[in-house]
Amino acid sequence: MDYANEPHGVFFMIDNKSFYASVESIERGLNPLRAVLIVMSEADNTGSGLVLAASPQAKKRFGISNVSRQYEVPMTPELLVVPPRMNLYIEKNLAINKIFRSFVADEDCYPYSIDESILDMTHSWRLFGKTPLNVARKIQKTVRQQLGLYTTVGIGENPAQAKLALDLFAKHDHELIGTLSYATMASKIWPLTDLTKIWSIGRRTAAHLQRLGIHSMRDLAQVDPFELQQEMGVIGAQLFALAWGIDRSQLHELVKPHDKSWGNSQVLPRDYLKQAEIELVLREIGLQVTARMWHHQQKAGCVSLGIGFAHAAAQEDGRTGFSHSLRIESTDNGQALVTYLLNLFRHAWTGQAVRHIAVSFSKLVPNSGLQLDLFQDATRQLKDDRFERVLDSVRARFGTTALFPASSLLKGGTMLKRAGLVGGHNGGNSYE
Amino acid sequence: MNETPQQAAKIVQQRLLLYFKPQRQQRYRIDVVNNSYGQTYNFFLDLQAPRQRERSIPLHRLQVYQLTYLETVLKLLRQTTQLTFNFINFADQRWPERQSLIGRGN
Repeated sequence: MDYANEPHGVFFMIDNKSFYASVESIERGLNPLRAVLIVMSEADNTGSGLVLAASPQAKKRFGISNVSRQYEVPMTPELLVVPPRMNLYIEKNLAINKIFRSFVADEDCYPYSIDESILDMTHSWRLFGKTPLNVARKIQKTVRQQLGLYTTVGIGENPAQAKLALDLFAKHDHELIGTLSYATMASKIWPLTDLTKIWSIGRRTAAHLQRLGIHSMRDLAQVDPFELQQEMGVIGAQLFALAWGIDRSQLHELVKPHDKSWGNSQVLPRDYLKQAEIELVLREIGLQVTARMWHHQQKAGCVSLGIGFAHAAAQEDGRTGFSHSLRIESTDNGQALVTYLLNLFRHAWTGQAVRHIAVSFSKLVPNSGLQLDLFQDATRQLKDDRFERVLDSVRARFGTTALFPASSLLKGGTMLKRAGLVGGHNGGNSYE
Repeated sequence: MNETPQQAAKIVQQRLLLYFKPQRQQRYRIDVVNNSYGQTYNFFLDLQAPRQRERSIPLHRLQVYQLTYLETVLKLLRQTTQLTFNFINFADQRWPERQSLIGRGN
């Protein structure tokens, strides 16, 4: 393979070792690598409880993984259980990225997830050390000194190599650093046979590759890329490039989404069977998404509803759920949007137990004033509009729970409990 | 604006009221952590029942990183709770007013 025309840069992919568990350890004066601690969410929709993060020692000594269930966690006084504080983790993520930006220009630091960032060090690494490896150690040391956290660094000539180096090598390295380059792809990556360990290859893709007779990264690298593309579409070409360590993405060219939308979804705390209860949550989510859209002064031209059935209902029905969209006259009226959602629901629902509800509004247009409807009383329309705006400003000032429909107090309503959650888990604001 | 010691103590007391439910054979303790990285003093309620997992519930983070401030907050807290305070990561620091070592006999 001729790599002469491929981009040759210096990229770091940095993640935090067991991020949430490490932050909680530091807050308690414990060493993140020695503490035996798990962060467990006991929000309603996690069932009995869900492990969001386990410290390296908790993983090692008790075999606990992230996403373990409460009942899978051993009952022992040696284990420290703490509730999640999502806002604190966001705060620490910002602090870490601030440190990263002292090593690269702002536009070369790309936060990738709550605990991972990509740094394009191509232009700045020479300012901080003799080799990229030295610089990586320096960044690790700085984060450790300032925040107490341990970071893992993958180094590559492009972002994909850096990500592979991080996932496959850095996490098992005693210095927590892994490196990959075009030159070492064949020796380090090709022998790998567990394809699901490779970034972007999930269980289903791995099974698909197996069916094509591809059992290792070497097989993947040596397959005919055109045949692979014909079989798997554009993903096939991407996987072939990945096996050769090729990534031509230009991170500074931001990808603009074609059609923006506002949406929200939630997993219900139990199976919902009664129509009134399901519709109550539907109404709550509908109004919540409307409020977000309002905040950005937009109107929606399309409403979409996704319903996921409970496990047993899905097996009986043969479908896992349904989703439907409806094009509408652009509006930002909460009641009208909720009515559309309810109609969509009533039309398609035939009594199945529901566990998951997703609502989104798309085909957004700027809200440039109220369009009066000729067939309704004009004063009434103006009054309704003013009424909704007052509600919105009260909530903006005093919080989402300052004013809410009395129906949210009925059995089955989830809005009040979810108001304090961040990303579906305890935000922890009230502790600050 | 910074929180006054009275406000801080009140928040800790309110949280304690919420989470401290005395039960037999359960150990309760308030951990006070000197978090030198975040420059905060953190309060946790630590619960331990026999043969159960230890639990640690966050009560508050004091953003004013001064021992005199912490000493005042603790004085207020001791007026309303008899729970044991456990001081973590204070090394050999002393209370500014009493001059005793933090974590010894208090």
